[in-house]
Amino acid sequence: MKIFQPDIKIDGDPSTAKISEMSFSKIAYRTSLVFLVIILLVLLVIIKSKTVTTFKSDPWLFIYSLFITTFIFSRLLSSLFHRHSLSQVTSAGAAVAKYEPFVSFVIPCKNEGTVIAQTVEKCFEADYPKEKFEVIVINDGSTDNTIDVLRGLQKRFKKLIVVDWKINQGKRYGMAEGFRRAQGEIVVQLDSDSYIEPSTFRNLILPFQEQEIGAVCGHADPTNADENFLTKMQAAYYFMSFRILKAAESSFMSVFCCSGCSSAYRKSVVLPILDDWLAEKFLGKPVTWGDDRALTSWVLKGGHKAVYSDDVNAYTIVPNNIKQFFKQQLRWKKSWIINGIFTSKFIYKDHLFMAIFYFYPLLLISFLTPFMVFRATIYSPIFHGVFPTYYLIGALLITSIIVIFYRAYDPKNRYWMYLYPWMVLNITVLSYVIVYAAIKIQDRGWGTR
Amino acid sequence: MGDKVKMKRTITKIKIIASVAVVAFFFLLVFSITSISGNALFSITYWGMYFRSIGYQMEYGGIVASTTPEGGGNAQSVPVLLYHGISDQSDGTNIALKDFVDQMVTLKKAGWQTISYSDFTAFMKGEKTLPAKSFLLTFDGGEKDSYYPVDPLLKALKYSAVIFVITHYSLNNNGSNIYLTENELKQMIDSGRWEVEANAQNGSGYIPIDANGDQGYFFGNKEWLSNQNRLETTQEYTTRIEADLAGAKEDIQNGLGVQATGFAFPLNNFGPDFINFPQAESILANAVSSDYEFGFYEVWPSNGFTANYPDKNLSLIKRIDIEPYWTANDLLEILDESNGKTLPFSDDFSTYKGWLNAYGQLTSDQTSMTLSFNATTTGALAFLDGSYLWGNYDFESVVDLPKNQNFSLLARYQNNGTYVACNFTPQSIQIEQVVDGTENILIDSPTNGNFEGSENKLGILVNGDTIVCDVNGEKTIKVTAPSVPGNGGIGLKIWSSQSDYGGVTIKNVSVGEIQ
Repeated sequence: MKIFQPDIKIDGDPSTAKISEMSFSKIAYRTSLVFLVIILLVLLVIIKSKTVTTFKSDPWLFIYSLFITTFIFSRLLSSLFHRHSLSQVTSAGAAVAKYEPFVSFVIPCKNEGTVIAQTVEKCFEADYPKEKFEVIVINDGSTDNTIDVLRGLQKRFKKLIVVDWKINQGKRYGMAEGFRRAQGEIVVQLDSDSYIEPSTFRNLILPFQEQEIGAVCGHADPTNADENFLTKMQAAYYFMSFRILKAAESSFMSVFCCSGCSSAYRKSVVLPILDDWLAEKFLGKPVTWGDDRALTSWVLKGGHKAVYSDDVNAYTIVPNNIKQFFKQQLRWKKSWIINGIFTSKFIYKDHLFMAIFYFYPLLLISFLTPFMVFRATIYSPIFHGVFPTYYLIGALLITSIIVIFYRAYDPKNRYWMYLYPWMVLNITVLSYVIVYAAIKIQDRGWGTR
Repeated sequence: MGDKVKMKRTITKIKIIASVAVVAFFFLLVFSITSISGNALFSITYWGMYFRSIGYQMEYGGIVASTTPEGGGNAQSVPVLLYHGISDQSDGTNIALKDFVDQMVTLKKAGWQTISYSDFTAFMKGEKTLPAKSFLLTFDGGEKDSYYPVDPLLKALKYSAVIFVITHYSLNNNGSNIYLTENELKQMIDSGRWEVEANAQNGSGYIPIDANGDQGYFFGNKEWLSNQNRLETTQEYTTRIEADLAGAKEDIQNGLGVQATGFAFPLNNFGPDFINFPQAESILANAVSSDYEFGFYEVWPSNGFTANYPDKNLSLIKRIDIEPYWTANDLLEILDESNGKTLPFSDDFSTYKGWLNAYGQLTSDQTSMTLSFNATTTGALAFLDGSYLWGNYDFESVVDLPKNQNFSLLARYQNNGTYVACNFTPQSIQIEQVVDGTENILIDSPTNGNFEGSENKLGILVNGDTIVCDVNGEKTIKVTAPSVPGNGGIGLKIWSSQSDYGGVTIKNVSVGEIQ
């Protein structure tokens, strides 16, 4: 039995690095981070102990905060095992060179005339044998010049297949069509404005050498991160969401949502459930977003595994204005609710550990949080005159602990400090979106993209 | 193939490490928070208590004490119950939790309701009336196991309790695994269900009382000072106990901001086992009443009625020390029978109506009651619990009286040292008055013992200061005794100066009120 060592990636080097191989400054850096975490935990305990006197008047808030602190800790802890887990399916050496299945890119798009060319070009730049992949673009009822751009691209790229729909059917149908037409064993799902860094592309395919793997999710960062304050906050959130939260799920090979901007699926796993996926309804109406989350759920439901690899660098665009941002958040929360209900019905059957250790607690926290946050930051201050000092300091400390893990995983990522304003945004506004989403759940529109 | 197995094993290993770490983190978090907070309200045991109280609330929360128990609206007397700790099993001192729950629930269902300590003291001073079937629930020692298993049940039943603390352990200390701490006591007081009074400062245990190192109660004996090879003097004794009594009160005032007015004699002991100093009782009683309003001690039949009747001059309160082997129905019966009984009263002994034997043996077979004694006592005495407030009445009894057996009917019985009696001896009928143990024959009328044999109806009548004895319906002797107490209950007594054995069978009893 090998003694376990937490493997931490250094400076983008994809191979695992043992402690003994690190330079002194690296060791000092790591150690100081560990001490910082300990100090922050101690401070957290002190703060929480001060709130014990409020226990009598508000026991549920206290229990909730203990619960959520433990849950966040479980996420951070689980994320430490990510690379160790991933190495089980990407064992270096022999596999890298030999495993090259046929791959199909599937990109549904509508009115993306301006960006689709770059997206397609990036696909063809992938570091992968040219004869072993194809690109399928579904023109889903565009009313601009998308089809012309695509025809032009077809002249340059022989392996570009264009499916031209005159009438818009929806992203899910576009994807399904792509899956049906794909020649490849592996289907890569991209958004029309996202791409995968060509040199890292292979790492997206590598895990599929293990038969049980049904889906792989790459690490996505926003290309327009520096555009404004909002995009910088999202860049920080993306990094945390992928490198900590998805990595935590991936340690158990149960990623719950392989993002539609940077994921790959095993076609043979998806084809049998394609019709069910298309036919999904909630409260009598079809589900028009959250395709990626739903598809991953179907993969997990079949007993297959889904992993995340931070060796795959993907890039996408994030909303740069408040209106788009909130529309996106609302869509995400709605699809979370719907998918949450769907998943909770089967998750305990095949994935009991994840159900108990992660999913049901997450479900509970997601629905409790808006009420708890409201109680702590609005209700108690107004009706009991209690300013939530300790609650806010506690949130600050927990965010700082997350920041430390963030800094440990990628010291070069500049956006870590934006986690703090993100936390503020969360407490003041974002926590309540799920309530609004639940109220508006029957509104199945997209809003403007 | 091997890779798949290795992959599964790795994931399982990660699952195990992760879940153990998370569970450990949670408990570490809770533990460290509670340790730092120093807030005893929030400890692991508190969680148990909290969830237990939910359970009790669901199960017993719906019980409502009946507001009109038989006997009428107001309490004539209030019994005080004493418990120590609650544990899983009953041992000599502590009672098992399930038995305690059983007892409390049974009492609640039967209409018994707890009262606060301040209500109790007001009642005893005659300043307040209380509903019938009120009782005071107390715990001695100030131990954690008197609180944590108990409070959830109190909450569900809407009961309250008084805890007598040993301040050296509870208040002059930084923490204890056994005794409740200052923080815990504060929480208890804040909850509104608990009041704190004094058990002792240091004197809850034993001191050496002779050169051999034999041990005796701190408050009841002179201490053997081994370094001076003598017993302490009376003055030293007085100083020592006064310091402890005052110290306990001061500790409670300083630590909890509460003025303690009640003192529970440690081990509920006042009198018995006061070994080497006869004046201990009176000095102690004085000392207690200078610092406290009431001293609480153990009651059993030979020191009188079970419950406490209002009396402005009274400062010693009786407590029923709950035996761990009592069932809930045993306790209910004791309390019900301690309750004030109304006149007229009759008893054919088909059910238990509260006869207590102060000494000797008392048995019944559902058709009669037998009072008997053997060589261990000089006689036998039984009295009727709950009859203390009876004033003017005619007490008659059909008895089977063996030859040469002395028999008495007692009236205006206050305790086994104070009552009046009609004595029926082989030689005569007498009227006797006993005051604080001193016997005084008021009239002696010789007869030739014509009440021996079966089915004789004997009687005693008390009306004001007048005492009359009757045989088979005929009044025989009569006397007026001005110092007779104005109220008291009924009793039966047998004795013999010649024989080591004796007994009488009582067929029935009836008591009618005289207006």
